[in-house]
Amino acid sequence: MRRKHRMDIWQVISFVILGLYALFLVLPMFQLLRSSVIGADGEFSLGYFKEFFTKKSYYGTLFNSFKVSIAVTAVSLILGILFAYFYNLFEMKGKALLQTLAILCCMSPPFIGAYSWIQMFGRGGIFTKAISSLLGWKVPDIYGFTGIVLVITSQLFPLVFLYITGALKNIDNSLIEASSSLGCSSVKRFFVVILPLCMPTILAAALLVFMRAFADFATPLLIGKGYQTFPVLIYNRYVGETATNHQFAAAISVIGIVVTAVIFLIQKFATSRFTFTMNALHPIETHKPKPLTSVLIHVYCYLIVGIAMLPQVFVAWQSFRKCNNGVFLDGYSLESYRIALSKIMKRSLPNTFTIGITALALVILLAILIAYLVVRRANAINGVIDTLSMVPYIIPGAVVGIALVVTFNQGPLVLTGTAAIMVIALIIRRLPYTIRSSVAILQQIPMSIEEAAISLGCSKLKAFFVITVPMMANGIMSGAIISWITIITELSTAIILYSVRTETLTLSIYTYVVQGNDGVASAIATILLAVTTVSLLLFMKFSKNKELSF
Amino acid sequence: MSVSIRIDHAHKRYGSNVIIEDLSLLIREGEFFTLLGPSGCGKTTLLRMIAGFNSIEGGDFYFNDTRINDIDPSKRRIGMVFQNYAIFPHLSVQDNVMFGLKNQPNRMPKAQMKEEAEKFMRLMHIDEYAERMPERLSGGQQQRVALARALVIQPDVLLMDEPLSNLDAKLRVEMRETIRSIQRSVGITTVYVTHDQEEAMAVSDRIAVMNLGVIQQIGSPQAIYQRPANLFVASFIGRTNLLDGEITMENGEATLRVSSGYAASIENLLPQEARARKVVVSVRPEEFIIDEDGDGIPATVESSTFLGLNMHYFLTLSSGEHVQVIQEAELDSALPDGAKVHLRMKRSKLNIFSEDGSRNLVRGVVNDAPAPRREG
Repeated sequence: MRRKHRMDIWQVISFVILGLYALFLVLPMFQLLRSSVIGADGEFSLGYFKEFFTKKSYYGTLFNSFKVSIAVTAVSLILGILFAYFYNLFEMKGKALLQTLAILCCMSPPFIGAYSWIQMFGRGGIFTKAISSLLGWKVPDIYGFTGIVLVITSQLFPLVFLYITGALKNIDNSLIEASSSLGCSSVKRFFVVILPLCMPTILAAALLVFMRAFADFATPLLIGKGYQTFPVLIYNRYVGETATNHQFAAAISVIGIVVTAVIFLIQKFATSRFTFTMNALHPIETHKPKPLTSVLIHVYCYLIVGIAMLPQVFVAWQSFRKCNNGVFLDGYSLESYRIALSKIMKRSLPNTFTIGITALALVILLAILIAYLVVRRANAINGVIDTLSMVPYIIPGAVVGIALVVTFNQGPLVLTGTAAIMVIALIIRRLPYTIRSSVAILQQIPMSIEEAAISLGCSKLKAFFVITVPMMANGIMSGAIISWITIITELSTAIILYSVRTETLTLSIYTYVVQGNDGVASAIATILLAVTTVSLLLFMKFSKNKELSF
Repeated sequence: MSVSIRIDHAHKRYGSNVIIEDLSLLIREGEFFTLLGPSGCGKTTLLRMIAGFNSIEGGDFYFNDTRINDIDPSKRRIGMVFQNYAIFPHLSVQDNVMFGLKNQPNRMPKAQMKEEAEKFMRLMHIDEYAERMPERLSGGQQQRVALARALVIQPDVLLMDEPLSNLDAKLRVEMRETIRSIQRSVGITTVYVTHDQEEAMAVSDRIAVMNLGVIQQIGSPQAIYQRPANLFVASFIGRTNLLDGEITMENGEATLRVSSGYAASIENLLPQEARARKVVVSVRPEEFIIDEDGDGIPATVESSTFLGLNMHYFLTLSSGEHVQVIQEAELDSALPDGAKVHLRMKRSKLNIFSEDGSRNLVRGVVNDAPAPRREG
């Protein structure tokens, strides 16, 4: 049997991608692990782990993070599932608005929520003062556990809503009708038919919410006060006042990865018990609720979305207030914007766009190529790539940052302080999501379309780019818009990797928030909000299917 | 230019799962050749090996004298029509048809491309949809686009993978006429895959009946229907009743006895097979003659169906075997359920198989399939 050993173009791509993963993911993870078990004297030591598990102030953060994540997941699921159920099964006014607002809520920059809630209801917050002077009531303390859960939940329940809405769209109306014809009341139907059918999506959403809550770093940092969570501990130990101790931060990071990996596996196990595919020929029809029900549904949906939107509206309003060195005065002015623009025009605004667009372009390219390898070229190497591509999904952002620093601050390839390392970090963090959505799209496209192109004389690579990629374009765009927004609002990795030269908008906001320069911080935050909002609206205007994939 | 296709000892496996052990065949130039078989028999696999979309684990594939095993599918000069049409959804009908022309090694000028595309769109009656996007076409129209797109590049071979299976029954009949007449007028060597035996009979010059990766018989539709090479072909092509029987020899004359005790002399047994033995008799429903009082196999009518042209009777023989009989429907002549009748057989049309069903014992079997290579 003769066989040519010429490398097929896709094999070359396989090896290049595998190499990139080895360099920018496997190596950093290995270095992270290595640093965590090397003592101050350069010898092997488990001292950092021992230290972590013997000091309550350390291991306590793990429990705090668990409490926060579990509470956030539970509340977000309840709020989001009910919201999605009402939204998809009943007629309601202003649905498009509700959905757009929900998307905006979960797309808001990570710490604007915490910052804004403090400005509103914190000690010395504007509403706190107003309420106590007008009504004489004492507003309950917003800091600590309650505040963290409130803020993170209000960002994440809209995500649950969007996920479940997607699942409900796949339920065929005949299933609803069948359950009615078999004597199921609408309440019973919700628990017996709809919830179980959505279960795979609910579990996926639960994992996503849990991971985000667990890895959220900015919110607890700002609003947590004495309530320290795990990512905050990592960050504090990394830049901490006491010691710049990468080894200890590395050790905590390793613990963090183990924890998230376990959660991930539990979720996988739970999901494996719910495998079925649905494809709705006739999606669920909405029907008119009774007047009282209708009022309650409207109040519920608009109230929770309103609360989630509040911080962003407030920040935008605050940005127009007259402000003098961080002290707000009566009246309005654009002074904060003048200062803000003069500060960000030079560096952080252009940085945000150059770093963001570069990362986005590479994320899309890599995601398409990897999706193709995984779906169309299943083999051992591509299996490894598939697994590797999912690894960053379970690594908290701060950990990615530390691993990259540990690896690339010395040795043959020094990247710390460059824009390149920011781009790499963003790619690593965003790639799993974009790959998943690209894989899903590609699985919808029959292989025969590409074969048709090849039979008509196209080369393999040309068939892919001329036929398959354009067919994927719509789906890729809807993933890309989310990637774009997550990239430009990213903080937890950037804060570890940035230098003066690579400061971005989120980092500028953070800097001014920490300085207490609230006017400028609000103005930059509003600019960032405007960029995300405009991106979303543009997408929704020009996209054909208007579906976003997260 | 049309080519002949020769396949020598093709071997296909996925991992350790062997789909095709050892398959050889010859497809003549300009012929409409159909691979027919139940799902999983390897027919699509074989077609995709010819196209180059499946790897070839062993054996040689030739277009005329050119070995194509290592030629990229894009350079094999094939036109392929897929089960799901595989129309490019983001290109208009005309751009779909012109797509292949743009990828040919020596590109013709644009005006000529348009002309060629138009010619084939007219041929397929889709010229009025030239500017339309595919999602606004019906299934039948999409299939016409697929056919025009495959033919416009003037391929050496046209490969069709169950092209009609997504269409409704009426369109299927209409399209198969279209496919057949276009193939005739273009004169291109065509390999067609289907699991529908009626469709295969309607379009093919020759049919290869496949099962479990092995070719059972190659022959004209008439040959495989009337003289199936083995029991599988007999029961896969058309309907048939299988009865257990026995051959007895007396003075060199063979007599067939079926289990109901009925006996008939048989004259067309192959000489080398003519000996006393157990056999399986295949009687097609139209090869029975119902005799209401004469001799034959005693049988009882269980039920009947009136289908316009024909009457279908379901009967139970005295041996307990169930059979189907088709008779031309006559006015007021339907037999009532429960009627006792006798069945005779049109002897010359009968097919008699060895007890294991592996071969037909009757003269006149045409099988172009090369004899399988004996292992060891």
